[in-house]
Amino acid sequence: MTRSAINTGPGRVLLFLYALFAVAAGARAGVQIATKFDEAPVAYLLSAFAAVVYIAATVGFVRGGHGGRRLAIACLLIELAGVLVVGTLSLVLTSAFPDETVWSQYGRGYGFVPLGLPVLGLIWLRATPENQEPSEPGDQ
Amino acid sequence: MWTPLALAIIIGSVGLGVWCLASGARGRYLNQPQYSGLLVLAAVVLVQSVVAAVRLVAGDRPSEVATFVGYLLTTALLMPTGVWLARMEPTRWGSVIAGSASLVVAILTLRCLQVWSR
Repeated sequence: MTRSAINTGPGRVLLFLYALFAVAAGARAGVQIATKFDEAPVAYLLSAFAAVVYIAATVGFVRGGHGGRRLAIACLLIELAGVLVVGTLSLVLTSAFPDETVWSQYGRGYGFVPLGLPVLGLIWLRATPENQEPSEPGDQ
Repeated sequence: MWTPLALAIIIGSVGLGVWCLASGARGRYLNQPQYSGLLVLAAVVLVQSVVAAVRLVAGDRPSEVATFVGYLLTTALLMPTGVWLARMEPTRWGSVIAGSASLVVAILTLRCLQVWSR
């Protein structure tokens, strides 16, 4: 594993939580799509999309370095936008979301962690100066 | 699932999780009793998973089998992953990882129990 600034200390906690959400959201989406896709296709496709974003964010934190940081930042911004947009839509257009997604009601079903995690993650990624990371060969 | 064992896991993992997070908040890494507790918790969760798997195979199944298996696998993998990452991070943040993993085990075990009894 790359020992660069973004995945040590608090970054390792974020890595763990993102891996957990990748598995949780992925498993949930897999079960929903495999067993009852017709009931709420939009919600289940959103679950799957959220799972992909969490998986990519986890990969970003594990890789570290310049590329990993950029991937993590992109994923966290998508995640923050997703939880805000889906969270609002799930309250306004209740009929469009007959079943829960990870991001419904700003992630209430997951203790609002989906809302807090990208905010903490982006603060952490801003706080780790990019130039202090050892650059890896071919990592540009 | 075996309900008495599940309840023991929930109580134990909440206690251990709060203890580890308190160490993290005070800037300390895990001490030996905490570390041993995490290993015991991981082992007991594994026993519970085997019990549940045997009952599933024997035909004693909840109505949402796929959901249950998803929760069961996540729960079983959580502690080993958390302990592994905590060992790689021998700072206060290692304690935070271990404490979070322990608390999530409590939540997932509760969800397993709920799905099992449906």
